Amino acid sequence: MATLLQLVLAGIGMGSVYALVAIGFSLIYKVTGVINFAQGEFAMIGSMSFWLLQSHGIPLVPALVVAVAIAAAVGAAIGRFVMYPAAQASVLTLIFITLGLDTALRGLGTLVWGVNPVAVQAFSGNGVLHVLGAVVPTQNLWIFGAVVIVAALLYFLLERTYFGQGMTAAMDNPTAARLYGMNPLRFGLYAWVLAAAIGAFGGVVFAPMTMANTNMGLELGLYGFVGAILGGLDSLPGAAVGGIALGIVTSLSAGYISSDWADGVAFAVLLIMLLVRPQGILGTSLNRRV
Amino acid sequence: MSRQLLGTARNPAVQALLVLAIPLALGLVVGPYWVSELTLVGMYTLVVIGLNLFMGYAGQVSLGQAGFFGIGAYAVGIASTHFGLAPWIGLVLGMVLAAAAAWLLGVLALHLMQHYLALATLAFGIIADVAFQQLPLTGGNSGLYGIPAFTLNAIGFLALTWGAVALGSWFTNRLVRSGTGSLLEAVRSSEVATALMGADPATVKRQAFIVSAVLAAAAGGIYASWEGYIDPTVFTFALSINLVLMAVVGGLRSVVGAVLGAAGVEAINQILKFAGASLAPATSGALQLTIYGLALVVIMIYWPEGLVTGLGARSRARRTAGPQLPLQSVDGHERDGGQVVDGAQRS
Amino acid sequence: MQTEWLLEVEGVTVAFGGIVAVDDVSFRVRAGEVLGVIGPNGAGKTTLFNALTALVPLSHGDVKLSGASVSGWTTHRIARAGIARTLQTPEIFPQITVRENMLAAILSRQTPWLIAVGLGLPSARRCEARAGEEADRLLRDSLLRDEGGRLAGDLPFGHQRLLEIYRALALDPRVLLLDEPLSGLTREEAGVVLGLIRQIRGAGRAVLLVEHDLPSVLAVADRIVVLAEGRLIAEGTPAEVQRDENVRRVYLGREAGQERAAGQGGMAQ
Repeated sequence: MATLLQLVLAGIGMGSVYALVAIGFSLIYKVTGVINFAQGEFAMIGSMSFWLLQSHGIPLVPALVVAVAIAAAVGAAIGRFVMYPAAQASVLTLIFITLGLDTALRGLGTLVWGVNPVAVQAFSGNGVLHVLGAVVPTQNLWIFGAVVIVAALLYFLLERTYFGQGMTAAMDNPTAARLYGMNPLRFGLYAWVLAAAIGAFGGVVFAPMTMANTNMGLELGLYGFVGAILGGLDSLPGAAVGGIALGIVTSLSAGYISSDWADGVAFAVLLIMLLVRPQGILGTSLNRRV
Repeated sequence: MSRQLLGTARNPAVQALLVLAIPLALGLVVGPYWVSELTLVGMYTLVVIGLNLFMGYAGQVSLGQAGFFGIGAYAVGIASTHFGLAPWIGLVLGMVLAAAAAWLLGVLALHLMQHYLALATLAFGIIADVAFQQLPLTGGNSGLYGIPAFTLNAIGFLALTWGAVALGSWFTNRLVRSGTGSLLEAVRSSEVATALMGADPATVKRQAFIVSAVLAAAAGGIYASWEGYIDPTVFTFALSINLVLMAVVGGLRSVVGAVLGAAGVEAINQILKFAGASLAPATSGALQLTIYGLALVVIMIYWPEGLVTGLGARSRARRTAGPQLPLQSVDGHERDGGQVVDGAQRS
Repeated sequence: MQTEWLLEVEGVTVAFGGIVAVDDVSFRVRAGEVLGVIGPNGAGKTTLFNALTALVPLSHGDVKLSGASVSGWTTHRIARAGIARTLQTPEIFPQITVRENMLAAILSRQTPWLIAVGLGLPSARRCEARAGEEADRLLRDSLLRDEGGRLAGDLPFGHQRLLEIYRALALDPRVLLLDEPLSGLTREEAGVVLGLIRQIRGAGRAVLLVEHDLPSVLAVADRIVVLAEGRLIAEGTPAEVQRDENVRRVYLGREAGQERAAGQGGMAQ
């Protein structure tokens, strides 16, 4: 029982990171229709920037803010200098472009920060909490808190501000948004910035849980996609729930089967999900096209 | 005269012969290092020809081609080291196994739209890689040693590899230039319109996927026997991406593009290896990733049809009667424009 | 007597979420008949066609072709059974030639094995050769006879519409659904398409024609059904329909109604 609880709690911690990546992924997909294979690299940029700032003695909060800002700047650059010229590209081409971005960012990250894994200090020391016999690192609370904060901020931004309502309109109906004088490219740019910031935030809170390194983005990104699809690609709450569910599934499979197979289980879950809940089959794609 | 020459050069059998003859001739004059490079490029080209068919002609995305490459490689490795079978038998088994895997994945996932399909193939590739690491037969992370060669010397392997490429190119060229090739283009262009004509787009895509998987497995089988040693670090997501890069650099809709794409990416590899000799290995690896990634982004933004296919399409448009239109105007935008003009004339 | 009706539409209903786009629509069509389907924008005409070709699922009702139900079938199976259609925005294949467009349509019925074609097996060769002859024959009898070698995307818009109709005819369909085949055409081209529709009917096929240009529909249709807000509100000969009270009401209130509908339509695209 304690083992089960332990595994579930660990899964929620890890899943919260996936959830943050998944939220960014869904956000870009909803606003621009692009599947962003580079989403995990924003988490990597957040982690590594945070580490660099921390190792220069910068305190927690400014380091966090600057790390997130750096990733947001990268997101803005991609949104402006890659996605503007590629605005008319086909789905196939856009997939290749974001794959290329993922590869390039990983390479650039390694050139900037080196290849060695680095240790990042936990936000509030290496303490643990005891919950009904299970041991939870305090950093897990920070991670889970990060998801709650991001979800609340996104909700406030999208539902309670004029800017957010424009963005929501752009997501639901790009043509109508254009008729009302809104520039969907502009909102696409905002989506990239937001998604990059959220991903980087996830990377920063996650960094102390593991040895951060420049190759972490790919795996985080892949898990983020699976989470987003589990929850429903075009639903932001779905992405959060899906990410956390995936974290629990992988944690349980690592605990009860073998950690070696955790990747396999995660992607088998993806395949099953695509089979059981096939979005985007002919029927739904048609409403748009005929 | 030059048109006749062009026609001859486009004949599938002639192209196949050239694809075999040119690397072989090169192989006979250059040293052993370049023979091995040429052989490797041939193996990549074989996979890329399959990707061409699936991505360029059927219009789908596969991010799991390394999985099929690995199935071919491990089939040869396991059949020979565990069961003492000749590598030829393993090669055939691998191709059959890859076809079966592609069929199954196709049944599960090919009704999905492009980006979901991309994720499904990606998932397949990663599951396959985990299986290579974990299954008892595959030798885990330490891999399989002592895989016998097809009792060939280096030039023999070069001929075998490029012979397979020639066969693949002959097959693909015949297919895409046939009436059935038009059906492939129909699927790429509009699955709805294809279904309304009475063809099941999923069936067409599944067959193209199976062909691409079989070609990848053949390349993998040859690779295992040529290298003599395989481990899971080869058959990763990174290889799948590399193969996609090779396919799109040259152009997704031509055999020449496949050869040039594979050769070009491998050439960048070599240049970086020489240029990076003074750098730390990690740095040169990172430089390689950066260049590949940026190349993919830039090519896809400015030449989304690939470098070679873009030129080919232009020469094709020139051969046909009628006004020449730039490639972009062949999509819906220009048509909408035309509609407006015609509508105005009518009222 | 069952075979008298080529196509029977019985209580067809299509609902998306809470919105009922087609509501309990029933009508029947004979062989050799042109049935006009008219109604204001948003009346559910295209959705009805989508339902008949399984591009959207039926919520209720049944569709019968020569007395046999085809509801629940996939799009391509329905097409093979003999219901062909064109789309409001023609979906030709722009990057291949006109003749290759026809070849794709002809080969769709068999969908040869790619492996057999690539290897050049005799069965595949025969199939390809037959398809080639058929494409040439169909093109020879068409208005695109001189344009077989042109890229379909290079054709003027009117000829793209024609190509799509010829491609649908390559299926040798028993029922042909045409979705606004005249929109975007010049007067001359529209005349050609109307002639083609009469020719198709003469060959014993049924044509369902959705079209906004009322005079053309009145001229070519044997019978007309009128849809409004998803419901069938009138059915009869062109003369009967023109006299019908319900229809007059829908079309009299049309100015304001259509503007509103057009505005919504534009946004929903």
